[in-house]
Amino acid sequence: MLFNSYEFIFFFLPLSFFIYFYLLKKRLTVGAKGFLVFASLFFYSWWNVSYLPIILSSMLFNYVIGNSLNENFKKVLIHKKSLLIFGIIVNIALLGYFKYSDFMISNFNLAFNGSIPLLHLALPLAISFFTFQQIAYLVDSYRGETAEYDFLNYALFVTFFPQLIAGPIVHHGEMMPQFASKWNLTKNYQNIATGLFIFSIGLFKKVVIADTFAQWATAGFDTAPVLNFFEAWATSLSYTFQLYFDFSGYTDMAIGAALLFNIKLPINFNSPYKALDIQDFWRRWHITLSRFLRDYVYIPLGGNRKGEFRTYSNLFSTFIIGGIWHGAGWTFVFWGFLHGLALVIHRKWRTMGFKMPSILAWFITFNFLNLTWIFFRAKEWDDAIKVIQGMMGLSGLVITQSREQLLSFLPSFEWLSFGLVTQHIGGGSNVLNAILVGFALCVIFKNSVEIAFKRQYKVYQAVFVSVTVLCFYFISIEMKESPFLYFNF
Amino acid sequence: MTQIKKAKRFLLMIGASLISLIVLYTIIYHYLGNRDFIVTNSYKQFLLQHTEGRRFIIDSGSNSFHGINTEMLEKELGILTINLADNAGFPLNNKLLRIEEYSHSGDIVMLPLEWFYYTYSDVPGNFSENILGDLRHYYFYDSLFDEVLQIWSSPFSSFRRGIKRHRKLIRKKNEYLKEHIEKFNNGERGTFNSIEPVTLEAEIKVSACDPFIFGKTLTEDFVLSEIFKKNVKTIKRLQKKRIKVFFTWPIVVGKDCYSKTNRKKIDHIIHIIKNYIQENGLTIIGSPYENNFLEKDMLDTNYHIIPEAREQRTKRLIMDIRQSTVYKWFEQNQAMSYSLDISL
Repeated sequence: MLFNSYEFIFFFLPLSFFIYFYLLKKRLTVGAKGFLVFASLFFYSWWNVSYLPIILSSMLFNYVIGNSLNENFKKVLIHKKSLLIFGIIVNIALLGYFKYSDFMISNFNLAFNGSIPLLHLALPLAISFFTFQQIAYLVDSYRGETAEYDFLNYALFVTFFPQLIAGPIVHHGEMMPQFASKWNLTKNYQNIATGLFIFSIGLFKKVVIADTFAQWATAGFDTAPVLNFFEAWATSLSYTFQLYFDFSGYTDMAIGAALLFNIKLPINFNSPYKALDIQDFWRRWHITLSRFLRDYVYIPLGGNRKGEFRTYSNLFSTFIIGGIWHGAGWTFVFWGFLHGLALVIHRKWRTMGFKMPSILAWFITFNFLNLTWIFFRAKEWDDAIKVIQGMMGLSGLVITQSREQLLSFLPSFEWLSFGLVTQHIGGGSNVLNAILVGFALCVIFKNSVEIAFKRQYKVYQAVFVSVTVLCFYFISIEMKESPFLYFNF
Repeated sequence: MTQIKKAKRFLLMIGASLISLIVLYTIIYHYLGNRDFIVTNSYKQFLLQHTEGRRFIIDSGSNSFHGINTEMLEKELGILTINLADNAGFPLNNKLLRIEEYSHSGDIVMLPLEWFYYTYSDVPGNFSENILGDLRHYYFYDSLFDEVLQIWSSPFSSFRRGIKRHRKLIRKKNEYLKEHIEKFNNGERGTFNSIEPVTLEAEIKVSACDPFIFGKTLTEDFVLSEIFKKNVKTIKRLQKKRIKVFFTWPIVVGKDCYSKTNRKKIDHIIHIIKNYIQENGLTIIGSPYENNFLEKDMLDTNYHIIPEAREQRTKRLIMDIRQSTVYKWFEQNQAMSYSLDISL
């Protein structure tokens, strides 16, 4: 079920909310939590019920291993470290089997001229997210940092529908106490008001902004045979904004939906395109993934404690893992490599004591991000090359027909022509206007979390919620639902 | 005010603003669709709305737009004849409600309906999209409930078009009026008269005639749609208002239309349609088979014929009318009116 679907907004979410609090009002706390787990599994199965056994067995397996690892659990039969390694291997194997089998087979076939047939497995929904969440749980259980959780709360931690499909990647330490807290068992009007407001901001970001950029990004990357200078920039910037508004919109909706149930999910975005360097960016973009990679990959690898060279190689490794986590493809690996490289350069730059003006720092950072998203988005290398060639002006420059007379003094060049500037991606002048609006929203204004958690409850904010509901209504009767980008990862 | 009170008030504000926006939108939409307009760019609407006296009105999809010489009918039958036929995708109910709104007592209405009209169940998307735009003259509903239902199932683009068009109508009304009066005085009655070259519709190139005109309904289990039955009720209501309505068959054109292999099924369909119409005290004239033209007469689809075939079809239609019981309606002793109730 998508957050931006009729079923979710008009049926599933309100029904779950009312039934949950009705059961709590009747003092059926266990029943209410059980209902929320059931509702979450229903939400998960809506997409494809055949994935249900996978999440259920993963949840059960990790709960048993986690409890065995927990130092409070006295009867440990196997060596704890072996048990942890076993637990992690099973999780990675499950993820690897579904997500990376075909990638590995095709690389093997290419390298060794093999002919092993591809498995064409459908990726179970949210597997990347719930696997990472549970690996963190196992590691912390091994470290003795987990309490003795009951299964119901654990099941809720894994399946809680607002964060189940595409994060934020929650940590048991921040979720379990909330599920266990008796203060969260009564309706909280502040949370409901704030939750609805932030949910509607997310909905607006997705259905109005991200889906608008999506049409130009999709046309530019997937269908245009060639892109002129302006088209290529419009394509890459459209995707840069689409990705941010889509994913942060999803996160806002997740935070808002969770808040209705008095659960505070961690913030996942903090105006990432305001970042002044690449490290700053990763502190603002997909914060919960960065946190996971830092705590469970970078630091265990040694972090910055083992000398300069190891620090750099740890950074590289972490970001290559981050890249491949997003998808089974060399373009993702390359994207991770570029970010790792940028972080190494940034670290070196900083240790050497160099500085640069903020505006230049922002400009370089933003353009680096815009460039690297091309590899993140491109389905094939050729698509990425097509966009980059266009951005460099190698596929020609088209200027609008109406300027032809004005520029008639120019000598004729093969690479310069007059005509429809955005003929391969469509949109006309709307593309430029939308990009300017995208910039303003990302760089000038406060982000949704900053606005919503001020809890000002202004009239215009209430009107915004209503307008968003109507926008959603009209968009959904005109268009098909579009899934969130991070559903793919 | 405490934060909890503020939050509660905020939730109330959301509810209130949502209701206000819904009501406001519905009212503005209704206003934009309001029939109280004087002139539109639709000449056919102008003919229906502003001609005086008794009229012979033809309405259906484009088969009658292309297939009937309205001016010839007018001359032969001695009654002001107007051809409203436009697109078979537009619901018959809206067509009938429009006629009901603008008809005069004694008007005669002929419906040479395409086969599709007997079976369709969905309103096409482009109709809803343009209901406040170029199709504003079809903004008629059986009840307020139906209207509200339609408003909230139409895309927002229809509303945007409505606003744009409303402003355009106000700005260009005299221009349209002048154009329409000129056409009327020139004797134009809504017949297709474009001389632009046309090419075969893509669908025709891949589909045989019978599947094109009947769609999936060419079966032995043919049933009339509930929508058609509802339309028959509307027609009966029109008759009570002294508007005389009769049916005839559409023209079809092309290779293998009403093919021998399908003849049994087609006869069955004809039988069902005829029976239903007659059971309801209505008349259908002619035979479908006499309106079947050869491939050489095709313009661009299996429902569109070339002008030469149109003459032939109209002559046959006049003959059918003269030989049928409906002819007495045309013979009523009233002076023919060629006047308009509007001027520049």
